[in-house]
Parts: sequence; C-alpha cells; structure tokens
Amino acid sequence: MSKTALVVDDSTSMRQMVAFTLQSAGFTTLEGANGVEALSVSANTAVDLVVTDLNMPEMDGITLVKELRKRPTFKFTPILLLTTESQDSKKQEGKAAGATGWMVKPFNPEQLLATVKKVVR
Amino acid sequence: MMQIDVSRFRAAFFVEAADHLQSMEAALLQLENAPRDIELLNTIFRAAHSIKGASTTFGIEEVGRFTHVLENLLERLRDGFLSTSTELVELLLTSIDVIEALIANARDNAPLPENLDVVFRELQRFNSQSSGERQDPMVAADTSFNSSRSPSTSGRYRISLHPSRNFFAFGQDPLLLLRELHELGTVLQIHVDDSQLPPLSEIQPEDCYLAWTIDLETDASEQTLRDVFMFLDEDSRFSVQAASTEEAAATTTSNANPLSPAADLSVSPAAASGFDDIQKGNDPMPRSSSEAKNPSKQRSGENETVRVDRLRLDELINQIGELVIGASMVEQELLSVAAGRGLESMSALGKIVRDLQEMSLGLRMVPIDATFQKMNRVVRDVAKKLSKQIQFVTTGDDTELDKSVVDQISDPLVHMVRNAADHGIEPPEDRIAAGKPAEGVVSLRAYQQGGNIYIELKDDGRGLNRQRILQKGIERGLVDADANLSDAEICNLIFQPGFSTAETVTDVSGRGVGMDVVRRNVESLQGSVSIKSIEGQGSTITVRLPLTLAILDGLLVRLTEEVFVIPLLSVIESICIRPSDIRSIVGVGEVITLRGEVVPLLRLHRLLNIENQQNFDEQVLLVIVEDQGRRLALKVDELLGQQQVVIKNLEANFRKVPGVAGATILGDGRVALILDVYGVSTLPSIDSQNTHRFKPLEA
Repeated sequence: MSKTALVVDDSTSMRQMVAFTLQSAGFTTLEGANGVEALSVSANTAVDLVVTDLNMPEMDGITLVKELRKRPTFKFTPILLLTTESQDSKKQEGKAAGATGWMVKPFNPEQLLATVKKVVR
Repeated sequence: MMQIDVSRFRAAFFVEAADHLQSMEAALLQLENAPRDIELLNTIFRAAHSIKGASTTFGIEEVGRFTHVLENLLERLRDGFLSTSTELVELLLTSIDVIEALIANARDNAPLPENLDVVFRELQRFNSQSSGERQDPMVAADTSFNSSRSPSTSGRYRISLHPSRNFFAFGQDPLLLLRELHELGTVLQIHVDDSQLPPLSEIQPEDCYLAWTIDLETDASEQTLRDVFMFLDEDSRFSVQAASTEEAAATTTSNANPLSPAADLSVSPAAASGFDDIQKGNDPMPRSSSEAKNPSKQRSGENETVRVDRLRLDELINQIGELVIGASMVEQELLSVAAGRGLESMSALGKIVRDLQEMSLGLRMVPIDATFQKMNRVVRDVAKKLSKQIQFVTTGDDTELDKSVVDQISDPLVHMVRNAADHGIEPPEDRIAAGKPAEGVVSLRAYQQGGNIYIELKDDGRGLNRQRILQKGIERGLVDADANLSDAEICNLIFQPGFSTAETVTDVSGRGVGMDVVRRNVESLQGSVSIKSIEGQGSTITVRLPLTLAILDGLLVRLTEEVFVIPLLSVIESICIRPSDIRSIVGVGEVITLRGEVVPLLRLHRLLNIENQQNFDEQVLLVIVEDQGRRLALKVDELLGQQQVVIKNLEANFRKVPGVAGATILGDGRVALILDVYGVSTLPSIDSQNTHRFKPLEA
C-alpha cells in the first residue's frame, strides 16, 4: 500500500513541487494551503508523513504541528518543517511543538527525498 | 536517484508571485496611513518570504537574491528595528517593481531592470542602518546540505545514541537512524543497552527505553555522521568519536562476524513500529473528537478559487456555444415535423442549455478590483513626483467583466489615470488660486448597464483647454483652420494619433503616444471611449466595454442570400425611404437626410462584393448605425430579427478581414459574418480609388 503524505504550503508552486516529488517517490499526497486546510483534509485519513511550511496565513506551521500531535492518529507521524536559513529559532520552536525535522529552503527534489528517507521507512 | 525537473513548477510560481506582489503593493499603500499596523507588516513580509523561498527553489537566483535582502529589511521593519517612513515605503514600492521586472526577465527574457543595482544597494543601506550585526545567512553555507561531505579517508567511529523517552512522539524512529549509519559504512559492532527496560507489566508501549552503541567503519566525515542525528530532540543524546585504530582493530578481531543492525535490532524498533501500525490501523480514539474541535475554523471568508487554464475554459465555452446551436437546430427540426410533447421537452431542454451557456460565460468573469488597485499606485507615484495632492477614489470595484477584457484594459487605464493625475489635476497652489481645495480628486467608477460595462474616470482638475486643443489640431493638420467644430468634436481630437498638448512633456505621462493608443485598445475590445470636460472643473472619460467577448447581441439582416449580423449596440434605428431620397454628393458619395442631418449611405452589397439583384423597389430599407459619434446608413434587403450570437474568431481560424468582426453559426447551422461597423465605415476610403463603386446610382 502506498504511503500518504500531507503537503502544506501557501505557495502553490512549492506545494506542487513537494507533492510531485513525493508522488514520484511513491507517495499519495494530500494538500493544504494552510494549517486549517491541512487539518481539514487530513481529518479522516491516516498519513505517513507531513511536510509543512512555517509561515502561512490562517494557521502557521508550528500551530499545525501542535494540533496534529493532539490527534491520536498523528502521534508518531513524522513531520518535516520547511524553513529558511533565517528562521533558525523556528526550528527549535518547531521541534518543541513536536516536529520531527526540517528542510531548509531552497532545496531540490533530491534533497527533499534524502531528508524524507531520514524520517520515513 | 531520479531527476525531477523543477522548471515545470515555474509557471505556477510566476502566477503566485504576481499575486504576492500585488498584495504586497496593496498592503504597502495602506501602510503609509497606518505605519505600525502589524497585520500589514506581516502580510508584506509573508509575501516576500514566499517569493524568496519559491524563487530560490526553482532556480530563479536573481529574484531570490534580491528578495532575500528585501526580506531582511522587512523583518527589521516588522520587528520594530526600523520604522515606516515615506522614503522607506517608496523604496519598497520600487523594490516590487524590480522584482516584477526580475520575474519578467526569468519568464520572458525581458531585460533586467536598470535600477536593479541602485535599489539593491539602497536596500542594503537600510539594512545596515539598523544594527547590522546579524550575519547574512544567505552567505553562510547551508549547513544541512552543502557542508561536510569532504572526501576523507576511511575511519572508525564509536557512535552512541540515547533517545529520549518520548522519542517516538516526535515522529522519530531509532531504526531509521541505525539504517542510515549502516548505509554510510560497515557496522563492526553494535550494542543495545536495555538496562532501562522496565518489567513487562510496567512498560509504556509508546516510550523508548533502549540505547545503542555502534562501531562504524566509514569513508564519511564526522560531520556526515553527526548530520544523521540532526533531528534529535533536546532530551535525546548522541556522540560521535573517532576510535583509535588499535581499539577498533581489537573490536574487529573480537567480533569477526558482526551482525547487521537490522537483524540485531529487530526487537525494539519493530515493537515501536508495531505500535505505530496499531495506532494507524485501529484507532482506539474516535477521530471525531479532534474534528469537532475546529470545524468552525475552516473556510473563513476568503473566496476559494480554482485556477483553470484559460484555453480549457475557452474550449468549454466554445463547446457550450456549439451545444446551444445544436439545440436550436433540433428545435427547429422538431418544429417542422411534430408538435406536442416532443416540442415541449425540447423547449425545456433549450432553456437548460441557454442557462448553461450563461453560467459558462460567467466563468470567465472576474472583478475589476485588482486592476483598479494598480491605479492607486499610479496616482500615488504621479502625485509624489509632481508634488501634487491627489485623493484617489474607486467605486464599483466588484464589477465583473471578462478576464481577457480586464487584462487588456489595464494598460489603457494606466495611461488614462496617469494623464488625469498629470495633466488634469493642477498643482496645489494653482488649485487654491482657482478657489478649489488643494487636494485634487481622481475617481474611477465601474458599473454595468445593459450588456456593457462602463468605466468612468473623473478628475476635478483643469479640464480640457478647447482653444489649445483646436490650435494644436490645426498645427498638426488634424483639422482645417477654418473648420467649424462642435465642442464634443474638439474634445475628441485628443483621441487622434499623435496628439499631445502638454506644454512641457513630463517624464510622467510621456509624449505623443497617448489617448489615440487608448482608443485603439478599447476599440479592439469592441468598446468605445468618450470624453466630457468642463474647463476649470475637470474631465470625465467614459470607457464602454462589452461584458464579454464571447457573445454578442446582434441584429440579423439579409443581403441577397447572405445573412449578416450587425452588433445591436451600434444600431440606432432602421428606416424605410424611397429611392428618390438618396442623393449623391461629390467627394462623399451617396447620402440621405435624416431629420435634417446628412448621413452617408453605404451599400453593403457593394462593399462586401455581394451580387445585388437589381430590384427597383418602392422602398429602400436602411439600418442606421453609429460609431465614434458618426452615423451611417447601411442598406440591407431584410431585417431578420434580433439574436444573441456566439462570436467565433475569424482571425484564429482564417485571417483578419476588414469590415468583419467575426463569424457566428446561426440556429439553422448557417454561418453568418458579424459586421464591424467601424471597419465597414472605413472601407469606402480604402476603396475610394475604385470609383465605379461610388458612382452615383444609375437608377
């Protein structure tokens, strides 16, 4: 059975890129443009990986991580944050909220998959 | 590893970057009046941040580099290290222009913006102004990826890993880390420390109790090994130590047959993953609990939209147009053979089809607010540059019109607005001297009336100077010196090619290429433009645009055997006259007198080269049309009725034909040409050498 990834980013192009990359690695993807949408699309689905941007309208990435971790189904799900170099403090904040790891933008699809491999079997 | 071409996502990036820039600009303009509004600052920052992230990812380096510096500046602004000033807003607005140009450069190979370096340095200057101690992270190497894979000779390391109790709760899995190490080299020995494992009865299945020590022989650098653990949480510990050669050799000999980590560790991580699966498989807690918490948060206010390729949309609309034609053909067939139920059902179906068409046309409609918003900036820039005080007001921002009309009206509108602010509104001292408030008002209003959208640009400036316009018109040879022009005709001179009266050509409105281009653009959209002006009180320019370019209300007329469509908008009336009412004037051709006004008569048969049955009727049927304030009488054979027709582009399928705006398919499947009234009226002048066409009537 293919694994499912939840991709969250308010930037359509970034979201498409991440989703496409994960699809090419065999993932089925769900997408959300912000935390609220992400929570809604993943409400009834088991997810094997979450990749989320930090800075988003409506609900940011950190809040999303906290919300997801409250759900029993997301208790052990790897969550990767998409950060930029200038957001170093955010990594720690994300970590504290329950994020598994992070990707530093800019990244290419190969780097993304390498990182995903670190957290998903 | 597979190669994924990221350039395929560029198109999406260009679209979203444009959106971001637009919201940045809007927020910046608001920021001028609310300098500490944190929401605005956040919006601006987020937009810049998004553009930077995506552009660097998609390899659009110039944009990334520029936006990065901009983002730093915005961050300082947001965090209160800098305060909003007019100068700063100005710089930020210019930066938006630069990014726009950089994106155009990446997309269409447009030239790089000339002020790129200047603006870049200016941004840096602002950055360094406010405690520039922060290191530029873009310069610092990306530690997670670019660093550390330096070639090194094979080494041995002792690596220990003590995951925290709640390791799994971070989505972590020790097995993955051990596997990664395994892939980096050869595991010489691995030891599991299970001393923390409680008795079975006390085990918390979700906790991690184990720790590992691994001896690894690898070519990888120490940094690479450390990177394996980059995501460890605060309470987990790890260490990587280079082992001395003898010690490692000793361990190698003492354990000649090392177990693979996966085999050795099958107990603990498998247990972990087992719980993982249980969690996913039969969820003990009902999911509804988490759902119930935030249903209200979903879908707040913002319009949800789906982006659709325009071609696909046009295709759909086109096909629905065909459906309408098909349905009306069936309806006519049925009408001739049957009656009763069949016809009834057909007319019900026909209604659905027409509703469907109306809905499909609605798909292309977008509000004009984005275009109006752009004008805000235009007015502001002119006002700043010329030290004028101008208030800009828009109404009817949510008026919708065809997307392609919106796209194409933008440039002419910029031009008009700029003109109004530049040439219309006077400097404050002049205004005060004229007894007006120092602040001028430029307003844009959009509204729908019938099948048209009207955009009205109004200023309370100096108005048009008739004397000067007339003089200029005479100088330019646009009018005869002794011509007796009406007020409206004088005003409309400004729409003539090469007309510009600004005494000093400002670098704001430029020269020459003015209102004539505006008029041409509007006309190419099947619209028209007119101006009203009162000297000393201001001007109002009204642009009339069709609601959509896809359908048209037409008057169907017959010429011999052919059916033509005259756009209903230009039709004034139709009349019957006697042939003896037609007169010939040398140099003009045939004319009729309509309520005292001399109106040129065009025989469409001749212009369109249609065989005319030489019938000498008692009556001549004429359709009076108006275009650009000029009336024309078109002679036709029969009026067939009024009908909404779907416009088929002739240029796309054939080529541009003068006098013909397009084609359509009638209910009976026949093709009819749609006349371009303006084009038709210019046909005689093109053909005026062919004097035989303009011989006075033989009859």
